[in-house]
Amino acid sequence: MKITKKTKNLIKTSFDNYKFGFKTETKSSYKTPKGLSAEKIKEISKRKSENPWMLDFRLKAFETFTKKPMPTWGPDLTNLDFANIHYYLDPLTKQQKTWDSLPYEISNTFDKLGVIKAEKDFLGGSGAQFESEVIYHNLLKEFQAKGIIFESTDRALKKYPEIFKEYFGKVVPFTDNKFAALNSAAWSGGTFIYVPKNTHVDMPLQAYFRINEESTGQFERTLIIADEGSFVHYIEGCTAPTCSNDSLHAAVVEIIVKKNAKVQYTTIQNWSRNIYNLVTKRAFVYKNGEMIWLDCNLGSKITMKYPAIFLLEEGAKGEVNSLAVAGKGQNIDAGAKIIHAAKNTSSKVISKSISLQGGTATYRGLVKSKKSATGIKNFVSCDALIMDDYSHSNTHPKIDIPGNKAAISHEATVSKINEDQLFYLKSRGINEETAISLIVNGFADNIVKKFPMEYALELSRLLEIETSNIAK
Amino acid sequence: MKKLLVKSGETKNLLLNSLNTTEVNLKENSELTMVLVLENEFISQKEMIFKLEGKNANLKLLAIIIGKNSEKFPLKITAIHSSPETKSEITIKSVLKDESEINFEGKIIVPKKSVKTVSHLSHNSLPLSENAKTITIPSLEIHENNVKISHSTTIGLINSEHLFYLKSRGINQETAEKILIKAFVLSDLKNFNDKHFANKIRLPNL
Repeated sequence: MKITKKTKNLIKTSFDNYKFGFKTETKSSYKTPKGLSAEKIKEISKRKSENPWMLDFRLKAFETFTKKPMPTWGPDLTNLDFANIHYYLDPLTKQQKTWDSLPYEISNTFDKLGVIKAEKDFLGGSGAQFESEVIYHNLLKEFQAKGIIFESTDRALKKYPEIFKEYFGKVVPFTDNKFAALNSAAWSGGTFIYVPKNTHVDMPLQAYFRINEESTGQFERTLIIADEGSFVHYIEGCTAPTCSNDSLHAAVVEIIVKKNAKVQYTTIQNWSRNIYNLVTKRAFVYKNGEMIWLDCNLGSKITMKYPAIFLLEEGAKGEVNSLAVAGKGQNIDAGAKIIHAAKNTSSKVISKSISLQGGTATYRGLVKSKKSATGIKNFVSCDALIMDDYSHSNTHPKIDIPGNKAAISHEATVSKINEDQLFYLKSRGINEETAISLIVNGFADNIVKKFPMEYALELSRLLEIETSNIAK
Repeated sequence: MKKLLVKSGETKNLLLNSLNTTEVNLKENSELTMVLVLENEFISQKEMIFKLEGKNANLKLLAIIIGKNSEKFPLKITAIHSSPETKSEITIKSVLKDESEINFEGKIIVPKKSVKTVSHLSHNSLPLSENAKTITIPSLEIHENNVKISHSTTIGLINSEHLFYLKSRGINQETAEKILIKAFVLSDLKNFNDKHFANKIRLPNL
């Protein structure tokens, strides 16, 4: 939408009073030199003017990171060089991208997606970005009235230290795994959401709204707390391919779903193909609460991501819906982890993966229960589509169930495009390329349709683009 | 490790009551139907590796495990389809009483070029007591797309509606349960050349 000159001036004056958050002393761009050490962590914490307990937390996490070994399973991480990464970039001086500086694959995708010029400008940091700040500003007023907090994690740490101390690092402790330890030591940016009791957040909240703040970062840390009876839907990422100079993204997402509350967390990841995307995401769900992870992995060089749901009290429910497309040079190792720690809990996992042009897609899952968790129900379905004869698909589901009061089922299929279906479409005059797109979209349909409409449409289109190279 | 060879063109039907770690090679046009009835615990992990090395090799395996007391059954079954146009159907049925435990690792591997492979792996577990335990990892490693592979796992309870049906016909609880457990274990037998095996399978007292 076009902004009138009058509105622009109005916004400009209101922004002069709009506090961006912590202020840095220097205006020039700042990056820590490559590599991570206790000294550099102290520097990061000092720049953020953090509370001493957070510095202490970071240093302990760093020590754990240095001691923990790399995972011995999953994709090959030997080329990941921790010493060759800048661990902190001053968010106020984010590098702006120009349209012409984008790699061909990315600008080409935008053209194919039919992205209008205004959105292209967004990459240059103008126009639409300005508008999203306006939306955010108005939302904030509404939220303040209802007691909803929607902030960057850095700011929330300063404004709400009591809530932070109570929940931060409790769902994913820094001892959990090497990358959670790294994130806990070097985290910066991310989203903090608190929804008070019995409050429903009607529109999905998106990281996109807070462009000028560090909503995406290599070590972003997100914390969402849904108090009793509340509801929130949070969306991160975007279908458009996202460029990053950083080669490692090790994010941590912690979610607490209290009694009778419901949270949906939707991710669309389309990182450029040089990135290691190693994420720890976990939700604790309490009595009659419900957690839904909707996860779409399209990009990155290597992704290791297993959204987890810990069903801690009676009646808790969880659902993981995952779509992964592994193309040339990609290895997407994703799945779900469900822990049934209480009676009468139920869970469902639907995973669809597509591998093509030599890519590898893997489903890695765990369903585990405690002996005292009787009356539990679980259903896992993972289907894989291998598009050509040099791509790969693996499935490693582990099911660990004590006792005899559980109803668990798991099913998986791996196959290629059904020749009968292809023939049927071609015999109706549809060319092979379009027919393959139709079949692939049909395969992914029950996941794609769970996304909000705009995303679903773009996802469908992206699937068509990705798989259009397969037609002979 | 024991070795078993199913020669080219040969058809073998085997009914076994015990298991040693074995490598089985199936050659071209061979067919192996194997039914295992295992009711004695494994002291250490037992492994069966099936290599389907010739076109049209066909494997059918039904492994029935009945556990009692604190018996443990660590079992690993791998099927490697190294030739095109091979088939495998692997079904594990475990019935676990008392504190018995099954730890099953199943793996189907389809290397590149093994086109037209058809494979199905399933594990159905019926724990009968709250101290029984089922751990199962049915894995797939597929490097070729012109294939049809699937696997399924269920861990379940005796169906209460089926139980009610039998009891309402005058059958007491204990007998009704035994009937349902037997049905659970033998329901897939029709896929395993049941004419050959039907009267020879002796299930332990359930």
